[in-house]
Amino acid sequence: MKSSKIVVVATFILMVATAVAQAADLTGLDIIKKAHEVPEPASSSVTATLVIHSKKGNEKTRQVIMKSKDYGDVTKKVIVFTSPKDVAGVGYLMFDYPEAADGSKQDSDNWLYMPAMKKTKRIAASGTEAEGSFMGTDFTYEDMGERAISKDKYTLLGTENVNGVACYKIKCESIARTEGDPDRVVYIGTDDYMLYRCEFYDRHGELHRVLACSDIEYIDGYACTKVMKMENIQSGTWSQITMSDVIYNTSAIDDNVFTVTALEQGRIR
Amino acid sequence: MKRTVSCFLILAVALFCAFADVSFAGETAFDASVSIPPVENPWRFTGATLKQTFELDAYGDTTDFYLNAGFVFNAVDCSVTPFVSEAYADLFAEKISFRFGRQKATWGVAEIVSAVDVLTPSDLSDPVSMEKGAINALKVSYDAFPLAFELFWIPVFTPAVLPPMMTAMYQMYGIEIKRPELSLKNGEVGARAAAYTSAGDFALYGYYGWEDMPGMTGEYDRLMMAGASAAVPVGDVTLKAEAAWYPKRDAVFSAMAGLEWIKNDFTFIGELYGEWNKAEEKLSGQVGASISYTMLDGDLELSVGGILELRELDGAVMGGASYSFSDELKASAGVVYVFEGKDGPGTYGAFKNLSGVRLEATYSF
Repeated sequence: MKSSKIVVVATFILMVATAVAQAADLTGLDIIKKAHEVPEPASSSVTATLVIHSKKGNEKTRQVIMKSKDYGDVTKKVIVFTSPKDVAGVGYLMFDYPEAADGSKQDSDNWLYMPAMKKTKRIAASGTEAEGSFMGTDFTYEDMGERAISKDKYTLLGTENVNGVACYKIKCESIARTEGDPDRVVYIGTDDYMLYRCEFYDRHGELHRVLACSDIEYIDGYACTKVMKMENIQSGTWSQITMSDVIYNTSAIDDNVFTVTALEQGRIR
Repeated sequence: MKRTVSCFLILAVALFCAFADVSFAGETAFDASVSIPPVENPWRFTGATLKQTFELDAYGDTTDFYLNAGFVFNAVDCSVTPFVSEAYADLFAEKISFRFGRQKATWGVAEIVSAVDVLTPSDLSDPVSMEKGAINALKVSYDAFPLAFELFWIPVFTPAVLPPMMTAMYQMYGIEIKRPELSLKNGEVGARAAAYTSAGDFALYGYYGWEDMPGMTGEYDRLMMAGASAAVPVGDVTLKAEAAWYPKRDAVFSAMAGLEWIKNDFTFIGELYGEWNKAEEKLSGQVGASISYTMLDGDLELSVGGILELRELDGAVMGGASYSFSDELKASAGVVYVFEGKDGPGTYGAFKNLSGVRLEATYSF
């Protein structure tokens, strides 16, 4: 009995030591790659509530329907505002392309439908436009997509707890240095490789925005971050996205919703 | 007969609404405008209206019924005018869909002056908003993304809504405005084929119908158009171009080139429009630009813009500010200054009496 306890303790010590040794071997780039490899559902449908909090304390609430589908060579996403009245019907269609073997990444294709104008506008994706505010929130259009790994260089700064979760702390420095926030410090869970926090630093090295991810739940075996809060430290504003009605890998997500015509016809419900 | 059809339609819509998901919204807008120089007798009220709009959307999996209607109360002459902005039904199949009824559609990629947007008539009753009117049409769409096709059949011609001063001018000269006779052969057709690619969006247009403005005789001329447009994202900007051929117009060729640049809270749009008058062998053009900027967490939007006719040098400049007190309540103020050209009023200068300051408050629910 006593010897078996010793074996259990020894095994535990060995496991911890192995994990620490493995973590010590991982570079920042390795961890970011693992975070990118976290399994994602091939398709999803979500209702998201956006709360936009002004510096004065005023709040605006927007509700959107978000659908996405991974086709391998392209991930198609569509976002349609359902409330309030002044933005209801505004739709955003985005085709996001995966990173090539050489690290390059094709710019995403973006369309914005404005129901008041009865018109779909083609939006440039590259450069500073991607950093524009996403529908008045503290999130940018780029935040809504996936950033190419090759765009940054990575330095593992150590580990740190974020709301009781052990995380790798990694500094991501833009290679091009053309972005408004060229540097980020990301906190990736040591166990699940999910993003728990991200700090965005401006060109002067000042902290600009902080993203906090919480309420991570597993739905049909896939991790889902249900609450994302982006705080603009410099302006004093914050925006929060809360996910509900999350459906993964459903056959109900028709390929025909990821088209400009569907956006214009208001078929995305 | 008309009453029976109306009752049947109302009953059909009510039955559909009873079994479908329904959303209801509305907007109350009050605006007042004051004339400014160079208008004769400036600084007087030129308009004060209350516009009430109701919006009903009833939808199922393969059907949709949409109604946007209301009334305008004009405080100057105490008149009430009802309107139906849109009222249509949609039927969706997998790739093909049908929309029939009163509907709006925009062709082309231009934001200021379009070379190809002839499908829907202009609404010149409110030159500040530059809205387009609706058409009573059947639209058939075929979605084969990245390709998309649209076919419009417009059995009943809808003319442009003329500004009061233009209607008065026809009356003054005793010219009667005559619409085309209501017959099948006088219907209009339009077609659009579009391709949405990573390189850009490209579209071809074809239209056979009527000019939406009457000629000097008060009659509407036949209009044919074949056109194309492109919107190509290049780096930070989206380059835009349109070109159209009008075989029945004196100005047989029209074209537009422009760009849209969005940087953070700024949006800049610049467009150059030109047309070639074959009869007079004359090239004329217009240049337009606008800059808008949002601040205070997106609550305040400032905008300035202008358009200049390049031959006569007449045009208009406008500026405005819009502030959202909440999701429901918004207030805006704007100024429009229309100026004449060097040798006469010109295209825009003829509307110099529209120069004014406008205040508007809207409540959405």
